[in-house]
Amino acid sequence: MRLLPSLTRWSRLSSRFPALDASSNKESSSEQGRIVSLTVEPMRWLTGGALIGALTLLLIFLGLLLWEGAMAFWPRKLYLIQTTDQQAWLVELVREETFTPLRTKPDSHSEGGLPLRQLLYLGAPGMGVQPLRWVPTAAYQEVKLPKAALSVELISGERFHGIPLALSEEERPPLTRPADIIARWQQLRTELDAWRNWKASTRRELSRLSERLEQAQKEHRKALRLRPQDAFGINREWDLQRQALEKSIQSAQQQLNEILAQQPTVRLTLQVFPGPKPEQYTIDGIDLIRLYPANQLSALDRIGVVLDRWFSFLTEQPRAANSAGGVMPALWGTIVMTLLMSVIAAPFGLITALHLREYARPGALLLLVRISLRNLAGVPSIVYGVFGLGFFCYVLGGYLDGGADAVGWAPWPAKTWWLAVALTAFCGTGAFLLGLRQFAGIDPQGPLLYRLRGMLSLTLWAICLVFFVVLIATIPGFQGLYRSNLPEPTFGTGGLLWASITMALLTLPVVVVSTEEALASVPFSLREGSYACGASQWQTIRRVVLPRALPGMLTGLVLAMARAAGEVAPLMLVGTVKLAPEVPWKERFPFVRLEDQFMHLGYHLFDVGFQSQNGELSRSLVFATALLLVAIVFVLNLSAVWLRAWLRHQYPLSA
Amino acid sequence: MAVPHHRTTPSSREEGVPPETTPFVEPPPPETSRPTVPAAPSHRLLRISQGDEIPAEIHQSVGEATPILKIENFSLWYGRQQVLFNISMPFAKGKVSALIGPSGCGKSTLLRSMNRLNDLIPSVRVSGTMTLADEPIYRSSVDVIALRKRMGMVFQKPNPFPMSIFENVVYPLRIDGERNRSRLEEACERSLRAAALWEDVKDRLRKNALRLSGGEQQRLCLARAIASQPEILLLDEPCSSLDPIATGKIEDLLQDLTGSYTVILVTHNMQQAARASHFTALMYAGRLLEYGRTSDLFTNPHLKETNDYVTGRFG
Ligand SMILES: Nc1ncnc2c1ncn2[C@@H]1O[C@H](COP(=O)(O)OP(=O)(O)OP(=O)(O)O)[C@@H](O)[C@H]1O
Ligand SMILES: [Mg+2]
Repeated sequence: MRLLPSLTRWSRLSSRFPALDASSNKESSSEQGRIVSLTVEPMRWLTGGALIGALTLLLIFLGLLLWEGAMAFWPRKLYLIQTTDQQAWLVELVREETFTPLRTKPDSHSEGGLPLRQLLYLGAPGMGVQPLRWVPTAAYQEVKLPKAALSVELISGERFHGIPLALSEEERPPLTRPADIIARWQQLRTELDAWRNWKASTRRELSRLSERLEQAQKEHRKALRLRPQDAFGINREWDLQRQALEKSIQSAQQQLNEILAQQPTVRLTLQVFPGPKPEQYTIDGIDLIRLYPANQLSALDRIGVVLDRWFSFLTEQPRAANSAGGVMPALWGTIVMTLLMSVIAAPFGLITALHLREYARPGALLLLVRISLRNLAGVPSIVYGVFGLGFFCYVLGGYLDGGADAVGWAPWPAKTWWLAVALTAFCGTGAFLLGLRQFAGIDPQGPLLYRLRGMLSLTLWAICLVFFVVLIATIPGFQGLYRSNLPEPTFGTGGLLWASITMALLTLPVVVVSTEEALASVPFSLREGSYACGASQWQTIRRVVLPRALPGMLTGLVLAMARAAGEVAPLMLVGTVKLAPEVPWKERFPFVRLEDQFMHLGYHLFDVGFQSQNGELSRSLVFATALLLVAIVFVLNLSAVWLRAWLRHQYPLSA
Repeated sequence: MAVPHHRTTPSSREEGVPPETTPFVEPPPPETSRPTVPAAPSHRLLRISQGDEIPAEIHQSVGEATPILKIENFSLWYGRQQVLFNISMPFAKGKVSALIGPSGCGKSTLLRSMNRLNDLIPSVRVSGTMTLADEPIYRSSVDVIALRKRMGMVFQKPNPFPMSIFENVVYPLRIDGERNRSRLEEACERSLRAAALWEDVKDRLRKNALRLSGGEQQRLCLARAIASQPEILLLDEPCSSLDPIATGKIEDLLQDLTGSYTVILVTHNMQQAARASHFTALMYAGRLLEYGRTSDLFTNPHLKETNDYVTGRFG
């Protein structure tokens, strides 16, 4: 990455505002005479005050997000607390506050102020214990920081604390010293991870095979239905195929069983503190994903733990109903959806803007189109979601799934349809021929005729387009691509494709408007120069106008992407789900399935933050997810700024 | 309907400004049946400003040269505002013809009409004819792109493209589909040398052209205009932002081009017109005033106004 453009920008800034430049400031102070340029005007303070107010709010917002996001995975100290009512807990301190006790009685602990209470994460395993509890500090009898205390994280998303007693393995003497246990765990962890990955990939293989079997069965049934006369051959082929598949399924199953048999047996016994009295608790090593001695970590270790947790957060699947684990599917969904959306929106936006700015004849119609586009950019996004659901999912998706009759259209008889095809082709050819010489130039003899010809051409194009749509909708004999799956919808419900198209529709006005502005900023004299060299309109656009407008166009596009990446409301209607059941990518090309529902960071945030049972527990996840989302948008915006600067550097505007 | 002649009072005639019309009186409609007696010289500008048709003073010598570009009864409107009035003039083949006249008199507009660059402005309407080597320019069947390729143009304000110096110069060849590297490079060097720019930029041909200075940009545009060796060069004040040395070089270039190229040169610099051109036309308010051999026009013009203009007494 080259930093040159931004640097030059700064130097330009500092030369424009000498006050930014410390050296020039010093100089002016040693000069004689009064400064006359900076007269104080009341408006200056007023506007400056408003600016400071706005900036403060923004800083608070960003600061909170950054702090909470950074603290989300911070390993806290573990305190062993003995209360006056003979309870013992090994806890993390979440936060504290003063409170007004219910019954006011003379209180020896309150020293003039209100009593303090602390929210404790108890971190004891078991069903009956509440994970979080407010405890007034007055109830503490003794607080200790046990050196050996461990914080452990399980696959299930549970996280609790204990004092390690023993780590036992097969064929090895059990370890009892905490330091040994932790050292051994570092080795075991990679082993366990490898085993888990092995198991997971075999499982995936197995499920893929059974999916293929299912698919083959469907195809077999379809073939039987379509060609009943070949039943014998079809059946034999199917038998062979089935046998082969079943065999591989069997071997995969066998392999899985072997893997399961080889499961490493590691047991970690902890002393845990569920309340009244300490208990022993044994964890299967397979369920354990992370442990750290919370009270012995140096600052560097802590950062290591944070990074490790962030890494898992970014690369793992969510677990325990999204309240634990990672956001990898949501991250993937967000990125893929945004990219797909840009791939759809960018060419359409570019072409539309190009026509509006370069080809369209200025007039009332053009004005109307421009006004509508600007208004569309302001339509609430949920409305787009409603449209996407109603049109893309139900109508288009339904049609793709089950053919015309599935969405209540009557397909045309073949003869009528072919007639319409011929008519469309005729219209298209006519429009093309009429439009061919439209832009050749002004004809002083017959401008009216020319205009009429142009209008006729345009009308024919429009007719052609309408016919084209109707024709596609009425293909005779089209029974849908996924009829065999009905009533289970394939494309007939929200999915990646429809979500991307809806978001593309949502951002299209923004892209068009910004592209148009970028095109309009290209001076007319450049076009003139190109035409005078004998360039055609398209050559002029491609070689002169587009390169010059590129920075603005790309910036607009990236900003639109940033907007789409952070948008949630329409996505809830057209394809995001709480939990996408499968791994979000496929082993085979094209790696995504367009009809799949997917997870999205924005929706995930909403789900984790407001739908889950224990709000306090997922608090850290909420902030981490929010930070991630903001980071994505921020990176996109930053890249837009950088891109613009870089392109400006490549194509400077003037000498 | 006769127009009373009392409008041209002696005092207003001397000052050369149109008389004030009283606010409530409609201005008279243009006179159609005006006697064709040549008007007195001092009346001309005045009558032009009143909208009268005045035949241009075209010297005999103009008709003797072989014309390549002929303009006949050409008028042009921007929307409802007429900018060119019935201009008829030939341009001699292989010669340099200068167009002079006060600012806003329509020189650029006339020049831009020759390669139909005014087509780009939707409000422009034209009447009359122009022919290039006896082929009409304004006809719907004309291939405008081919027409423009026969002419090179340098604009009043330099307009280099946002690309490298090299690409700027070879742009006309590129759009013709020329791919041959050596031929492009050859054309680039030749044009840059001709435009007196080669020595300044030969080490930075790959640098962006927008980083050049204003005068360098103008010479670059000249190089671009001659890169594809067009038949006709339309130069709209090509030396307006050049220093005397570069100007001299450009004028030398014009001399070199004479013979094979036809050059039409708009200039505000009388010395330049006198030095570099064979023919000179004086325009005023959208009309052609006088047109003749440069030496004649500058040393013994037929019209008093021409004499006034070239000696700097009006304009
Ligand atoms: N695009 C346009 N739309 C409307 N009027 C125009 C346009 N371009 C030029 N004009 C008008 O046409 C008249 C002639 O302009 P033109 O540029 O031909 O003058 P010029 O002789 O080249 O002047 P100068 O010597 O200052 O360049 C001017 O009055 C100008 O205002
Ligand atoms: Mg001009």
